[in-house]
Amino acid sequence: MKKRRSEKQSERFDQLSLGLFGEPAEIGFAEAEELLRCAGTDPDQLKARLYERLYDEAQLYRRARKPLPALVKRALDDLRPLTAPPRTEKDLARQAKRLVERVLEQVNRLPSLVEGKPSLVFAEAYRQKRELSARDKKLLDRVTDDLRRRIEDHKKDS
Amino acid sequence: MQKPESPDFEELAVRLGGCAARIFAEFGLGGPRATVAGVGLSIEDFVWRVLAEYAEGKLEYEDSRGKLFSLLATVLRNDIIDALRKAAHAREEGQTQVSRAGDSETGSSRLGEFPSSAAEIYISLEEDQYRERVRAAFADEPELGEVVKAVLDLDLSKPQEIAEALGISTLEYQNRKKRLRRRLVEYNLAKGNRKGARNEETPL
Repeated sequence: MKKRRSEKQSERFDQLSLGLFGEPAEIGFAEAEELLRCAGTDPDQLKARLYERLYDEAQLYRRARKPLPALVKRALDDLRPLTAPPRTEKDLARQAKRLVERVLEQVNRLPSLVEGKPSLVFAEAYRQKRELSARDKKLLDRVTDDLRRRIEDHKKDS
Repeated sequence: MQKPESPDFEELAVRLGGCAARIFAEFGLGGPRATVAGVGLSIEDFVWRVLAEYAEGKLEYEDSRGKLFSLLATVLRNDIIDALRKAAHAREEGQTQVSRAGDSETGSSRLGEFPSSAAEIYISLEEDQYRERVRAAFADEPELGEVVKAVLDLDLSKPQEIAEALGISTLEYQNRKKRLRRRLVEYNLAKGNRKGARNEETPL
């Protein structure tokens, strides 16, 4: 009886939440970073702490001489902090790309750059680079989309 | 056979973090040190639990179940609401025991049953209070307040219906939802900071 009541209550919260704030999937990477900052949490620090916890978890597998699950290994690679010394060329490329993203984010925060100016055109020359993987291109596309959306938002607000 | 979706854990971690910040704010929790009272779990703890369970294969995922992120976000939301519910039950039981102890021969209360810290805020899981919190957060935002009224007063939940009721396009409604999310988190951060400042000023 109690369980049914709590299930009903959860459904009701979900319904209200959906109407007011939308589906969780509507929160993209850039907006999620923004929400975390608004909540007083630095996204990079969050990732670094998750990496540390994952690293400790991986040590437990190693100590028990158990094979590390493929997804844990993948997660360690993906969450490896940008400040850590690069181990491979892939690490180096990821760090460089993230730095570029940060510069773009900072540029985007300078409203004077876009106020009253004509629409910015993104060259997207990186699309021609053969050495970039599909994942890298996806990442750069995401940065471009985010930048474009923020500029549009800023124009609407001002 | 469909190839399983390839996860990007950096993206999953950040997006789940953003979702957790929103869910915390929906239930009135704000500030970088916000935790669910009683269980002491933070945004980071909830994100960690979901990511670790998925990475270690405890949370199975098949493409037929929809997008990976949506699945993990649902698990995250359920975990947070369950934790809030458990905390509320524990508190209710604690209070019952305190009042029983208060009626005992000694007449003294069992202090151990009180929340461990005065800074702990227990969240009520009543719908009325959810509505009250949402209304308070958007009281000074007329445009966003319109969406709140459509959902809470007219009981609408479908995007098309809400947009029609407000006389706006669905794109504008999407835009307002984004502003609602951001404003809600900002409002709760400010509220959390005010509470934190009060607790620091008041000696226990």
